[in-house]
Amino acid sequence: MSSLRRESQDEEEYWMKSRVNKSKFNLFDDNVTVENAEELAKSKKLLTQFEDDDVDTVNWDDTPVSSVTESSAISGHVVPPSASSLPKSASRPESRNVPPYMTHSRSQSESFGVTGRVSFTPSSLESVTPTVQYSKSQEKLHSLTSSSSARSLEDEIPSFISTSSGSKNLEEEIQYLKRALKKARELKFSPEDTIRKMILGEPYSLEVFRSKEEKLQLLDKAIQVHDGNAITAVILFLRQTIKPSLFNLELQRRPVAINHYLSYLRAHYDFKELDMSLNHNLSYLKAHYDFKELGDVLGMLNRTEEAAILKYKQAISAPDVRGKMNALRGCLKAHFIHEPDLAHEANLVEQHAALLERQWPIEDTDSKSEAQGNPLFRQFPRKVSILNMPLITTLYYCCFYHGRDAENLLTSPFAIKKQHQLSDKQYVWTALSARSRLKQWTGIEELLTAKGWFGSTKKVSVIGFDKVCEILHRTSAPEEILSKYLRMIDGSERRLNIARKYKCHEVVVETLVYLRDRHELQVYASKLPPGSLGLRNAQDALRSSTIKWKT
Amino acid sequence: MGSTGHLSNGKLNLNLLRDYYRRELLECLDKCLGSKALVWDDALTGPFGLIAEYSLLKEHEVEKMFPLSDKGLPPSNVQNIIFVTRPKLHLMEQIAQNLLQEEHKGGFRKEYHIIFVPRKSLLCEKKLKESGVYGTLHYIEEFNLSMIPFDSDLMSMEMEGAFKECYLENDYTTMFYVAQSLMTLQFLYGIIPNIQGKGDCAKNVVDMMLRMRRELGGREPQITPQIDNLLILDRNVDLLTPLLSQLTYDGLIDEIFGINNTSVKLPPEKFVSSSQSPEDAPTEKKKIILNSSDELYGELRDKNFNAVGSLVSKKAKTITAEFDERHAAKTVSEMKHFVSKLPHLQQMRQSLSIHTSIAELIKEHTDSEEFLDSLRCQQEFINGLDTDKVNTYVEDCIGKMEPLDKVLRLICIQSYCNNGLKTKVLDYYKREIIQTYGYEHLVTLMNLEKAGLLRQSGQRHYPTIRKSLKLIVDEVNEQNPNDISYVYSGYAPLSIRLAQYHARPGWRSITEVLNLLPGPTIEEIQQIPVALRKRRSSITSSHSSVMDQKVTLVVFLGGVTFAEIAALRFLAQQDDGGTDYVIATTKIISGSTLLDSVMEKLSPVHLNPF
Repeated sequence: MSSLRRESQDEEEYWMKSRVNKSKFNLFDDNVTVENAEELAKSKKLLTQFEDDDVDTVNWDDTPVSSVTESSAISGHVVPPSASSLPKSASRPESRNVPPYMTHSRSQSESFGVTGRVSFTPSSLESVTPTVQYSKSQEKLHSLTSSSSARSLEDEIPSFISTSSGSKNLEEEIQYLKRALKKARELKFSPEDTIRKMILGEPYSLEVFRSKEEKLQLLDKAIQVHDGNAITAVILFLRQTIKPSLFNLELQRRPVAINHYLSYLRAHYDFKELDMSLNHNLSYLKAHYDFKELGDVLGMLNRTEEAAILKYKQAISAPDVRGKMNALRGCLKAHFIHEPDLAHEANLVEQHAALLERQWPIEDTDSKSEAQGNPLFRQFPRKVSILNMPLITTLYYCCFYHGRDAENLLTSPFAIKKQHQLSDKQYVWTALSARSRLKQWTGIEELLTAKGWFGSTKKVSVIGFDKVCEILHRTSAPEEILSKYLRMIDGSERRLNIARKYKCHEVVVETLVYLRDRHELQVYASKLPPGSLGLRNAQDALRSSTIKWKT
Repeated sequence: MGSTGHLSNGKLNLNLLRDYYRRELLECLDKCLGSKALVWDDALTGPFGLIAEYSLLKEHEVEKMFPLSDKGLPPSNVQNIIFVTRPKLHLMEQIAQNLLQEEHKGGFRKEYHIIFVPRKSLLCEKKLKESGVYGTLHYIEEFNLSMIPFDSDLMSMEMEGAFKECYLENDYTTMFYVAQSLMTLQFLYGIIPNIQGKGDCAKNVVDMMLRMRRELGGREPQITPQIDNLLILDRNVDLLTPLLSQLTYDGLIDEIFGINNTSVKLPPEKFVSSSQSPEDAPTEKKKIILNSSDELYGELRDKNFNAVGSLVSKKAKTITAEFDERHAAKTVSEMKHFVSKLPHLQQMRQSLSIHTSIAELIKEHTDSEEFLDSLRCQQEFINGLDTDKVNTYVEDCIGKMEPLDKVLRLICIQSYCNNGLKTKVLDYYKREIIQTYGYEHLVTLMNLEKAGLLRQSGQRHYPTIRKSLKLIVDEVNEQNPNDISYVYSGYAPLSIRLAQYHARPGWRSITEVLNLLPGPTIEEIQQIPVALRKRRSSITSSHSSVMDQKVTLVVFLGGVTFAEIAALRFLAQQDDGGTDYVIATTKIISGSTLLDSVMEKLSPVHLNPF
């Protein structure tokens, strides 16, 4: 036990010191693969930047988000497995001193730290007093952690900053780490064990799996047990540790893994999108990155449809209309036009862009005209801007405010109908509602008049006169207009029902007379208000001797 | 949340489950010493309300409760702040914001904790680390609350995203939660010997369950199984039923007003007592708890709405008659007898007035032309009439800009009943919808296609399924039903027919139909020690008839409607059924909530503001 304890202390020592030499050290290690080395070199460059950061921000309380997320952009990329493995142990009360290390030592020594750590976890846990409290202030952190370990972190700080005493330490470090790694490797974990630990929330490490075969075994095992959390963790580990081309290839062979990876990317994307609305520039960049990756993966998997829809979603989430128009055009060109399967969708996206291109100038002119006090807008003030409204609403708007505009103008309802290939029905529905609200009764008549043979005219409605009446009733048209169109409804029974519904007494009486239903007429007349036209007509009819009533 | 007696009235005492959750919760809370404030993820307060009441939390030093929001925490002088949250990234962001603000404020030292419900996730922890607050957290706990007991025979996980995640995003996290809760149920009620299921998700859940049991390595409670059969059904095995308008009492309440966590919020106008003046009428919605502890509701809920009116008036008469008994009471003992009945009578009278009001509200809706027309259209579709061309009623609905979910429901029903729509018809609908409701709904339509709710024409399975499972029943008795088809006035829910055949004569008789439905058919047997096996009741046993009735747990993955629940309850009451049902689901859904979950979320635009 005591030896274990010592080892754990050694390890902590290592952790503190390693911060000085982390990248160099890692590069020297013979276990570092080529990819790793590349990553390390890259992140080393970035790390120096953060070191500067640290100097600048005395108290990283104030700027925690920026500095930490930036660093995580790298560490998250280089060593996600460690990030995934630690929480399990960190959630235990005894290991509460772990998080400070994790958040504080943003370097890839983490990944080695984990390798060493996991094998010793039980002992290191016991060596820690549970009262340690993590605090954000750096100073506090040192003083607090010092109480739990033999060598205080504060003592280490000078050596941490001055690199002069580094070389000897470095040598020791290398030796130590080689030992630790060897030990870790001897303690072989089976994929089954590791996955089980992941599921049960016990500490685990993925770094012990070194060969591609082992890693894939791990993935297959995770897939086999259907545990999403574990699958995602293993995938992210793979993404970091094997070549992208291999990663893609292996992923493609495992549809379940693909789905999990996609939903991971999607979750990140959705979330980042949410974040973006809070105006975090940094996360915008990251969102862009994840988004690109999501698009790439979909493209790689030949899921062109999904990729196209994703791009479309991104395009329509652009906040300003001008940007949206450009994005839509771009996305149309890149993802829709060349896909035969998406021909119908391509047409719709094209229309969407065209609609925005129409709305933009209309809004521009009309808002100015409204500001100048155009009487039309004063009579019927515009409630909202026309931008981003659906097509039919736009048509309604144009019918309402620009009903008489010539066809060569953007605002012409006819032009809209033509460009978007709207059906006659759609057009009549909309134009009728608009004109009825404007009380343009002659306009309605025009709309419903078709030229017959030899210059004769007749009333035709593609949507049926019952619908015409419904619209007129809804927009509270006067009774004479409503009656006029009620009389055009085919079928006397139907006409009667609809006339009753809209309480058009005249038409009801007429129809009852037509049906020669004396009894019904008497009943109906008894309910009519005295002195009304309907009642007079009914009484006339009842008195009339020319009508042959049904018996 | 008064008594919980209604939970223990069924074959399975679900109070056991509730008690189990309470113990677990308190254990979680007791880990932090000292006074506590709970910060709630909004979506969790409802479900938690069903297992614990504030007084219980108070006993465990919970002094304050706040909703989780961007605005940060209100000042308090408690020692512990505990966030109770689902593992969702946007919630992690809020928590991080809160914590950073608290750091900034300084002041009284507190400890911070998170309880993840039902489980923590890798992504969330990563998020917390990225935000730099992971170290500030003291305890990170998991509280495995997933199957929440709603009634004596009903449990729901209230996860509305389940359908979308499983069928749209292929994310099976919820299935893991289901498997876990089934393990909890087996822990409390014994291993379930027979498992059958249909669908991909069902397969997933069964695999996980069996694995989890293996991992327990025989460390399972030695209880005689109280549940005999487990039947797991994927929602996509039957996508037609939830789209149809439910016609049972609670089905209609859910469709019109939405029932959440067994309670419904209703417009207050109907519930103003005559003594109140109209000025001080409440403007806030009236909340009513709906479960079988309300005797009358228990009777009404599963009835076809056409039968509710007569039942209510009959009840009203009996109660009036019983009140009148006091005039007849002459002797002291008679008076005493009457007085003893009084509380019950008064309670009945109150619940009668509530349900009369609800029924009136529903009637307003069901009498409306829109409702009747849409119902007629649905009936035509399920009978296979004119499903292959553009339907004029649907067209009119679009023209009138009726709510999009109504239009989509009809189109999806048409698509199902026509075994997918012809390309021409489908494209026509798509076009009209997008032009009227906004181009953005292109995504909604793609989602519907992906989830299988909307299809291009494929093989003609529906007529076969309809015929062999007798989905359409012409003669329905809504007042005194003799078949489950009464819940949709003439259509028997496919999912419940499957359950019915499962009980008798067994799925082997309908293998052909099962093969037409999507996903694999699963059959597993879990071995249990001989000592624990249920003894086949001997002839001498006096309880033989009771003992013989088997208990089947039916799990609906991706949601179940109230009408389907009603149909299962109807089956349980049949004398010859021989099976009692307990129902568990990821969420109680209606057609609208189902479609809502796969719809593209657009900022609510008034369709025609001009």
